[in-house]
Amino acid sequence: MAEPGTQATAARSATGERLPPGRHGLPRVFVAENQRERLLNGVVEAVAEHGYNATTITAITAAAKISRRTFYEYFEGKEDCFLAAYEMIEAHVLDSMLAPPGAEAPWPDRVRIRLAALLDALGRDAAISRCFLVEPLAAGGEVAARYREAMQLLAATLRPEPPPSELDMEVRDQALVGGIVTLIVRRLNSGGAPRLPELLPDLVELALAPYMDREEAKRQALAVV
Amino acid sequence: MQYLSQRLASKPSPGRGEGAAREALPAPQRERILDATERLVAEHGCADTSIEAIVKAAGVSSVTFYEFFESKEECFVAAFDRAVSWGGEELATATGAAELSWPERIATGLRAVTRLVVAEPARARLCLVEAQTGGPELSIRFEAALDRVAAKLREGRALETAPGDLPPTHEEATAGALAWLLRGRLEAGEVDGLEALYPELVDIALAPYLGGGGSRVPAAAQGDG
Repeated sequence: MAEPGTQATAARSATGERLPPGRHGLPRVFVAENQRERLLNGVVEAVAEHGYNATTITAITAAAKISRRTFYEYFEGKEDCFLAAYEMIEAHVLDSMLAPPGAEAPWPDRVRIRLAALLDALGRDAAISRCFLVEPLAAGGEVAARYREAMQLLAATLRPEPPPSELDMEVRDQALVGGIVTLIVRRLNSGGAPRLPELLPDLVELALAPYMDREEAKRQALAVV
Repeated sequence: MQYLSQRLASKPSPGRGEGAAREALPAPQRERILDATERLVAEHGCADTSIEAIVKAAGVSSVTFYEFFESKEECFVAAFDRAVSWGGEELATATGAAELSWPERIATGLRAVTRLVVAEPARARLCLVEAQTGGPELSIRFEAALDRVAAKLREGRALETAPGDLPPTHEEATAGALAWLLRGRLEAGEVDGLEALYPELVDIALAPYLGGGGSRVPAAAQGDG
């Protein structure tokens, strides 16, 4: 047994099972994932606290409690690291919006369920919310491009089907996202993340009203998820 | 933590007359600094615009720069303020002449805004794109400008056709949506297409107050609620 179960252990760590104790310490693959994840968490903490432009590698490694040298084993620099964190956040937020209960429901309910999922995901964590919606613009470059793409996807999850043919849906999508992001960021700044779910009826009405009778949009907005 | 040029520009001690140095300088230098800032920020973004680049482009010394501004951020804020007050005057000229009804005033205002963006894309970029990336003070100014737009929109609630139960956040969301749409075009460099966007902007701003509701989606797509 020259290499005791390296592959098996790696497979197990990938499925999230508990790792067997061993005197050789944690398997390399696991250590790697763990360090990378800690750095991703570090960049989120640092960027949310200082803003993207003022964030230094030192701030990231300090928040992650990982050495500078290790940082450069995983990432080329700040942008690379923030982009990786952004992709993870984006996947999490959009996945929670696209979860089954919404996908199966008729359009107005789907909008309400998905917006509730969005506010719930963001309401749990102010730092993540800032990194998802505020800082990508300051970061610019690839992160900003990714952010614009994510916002388009977000709007697409709320579209009526079929979309009304006389409207330019690209413009409507952008207008809706602009409204939603404005309200979320403002609430984040004034009341903090825990108060985000309070925005639900307003966002639902914003998403539905252009396409349906107002009374009905209101009724939907006030319905309980 | 001071640069020599900052120290040289520091104000004379009290007794020698406050701001004597400031008053003595010809105002065109300040204007030139702000012109250069506008151009550079539009081209490179706030983070990548240095004082060094600004003074070079403006043809002034860094001592002169510090006579007017304590930091890069302060200079960005001054450039933003100048651009917004210029836009405000242009808007007042466009909408103030005749006796306009509220919908006419909003439509005329939006027409003027789209024209200003086409005429001065660098200035518009500073106000709509870079204002959100240039630090906390700038983003406070941006939000305040958004509030002023929201206040103009809110006057529409006095119309007879306006629904009595619009969410309180409706106008903030609309102002954010309009800014988002303009920003998207500026970022994509599609300023020429703005004329075509104008009717959409008007519809987004006015439709909620003019009655009639959306009802654009075939009833079948609205589901059973």
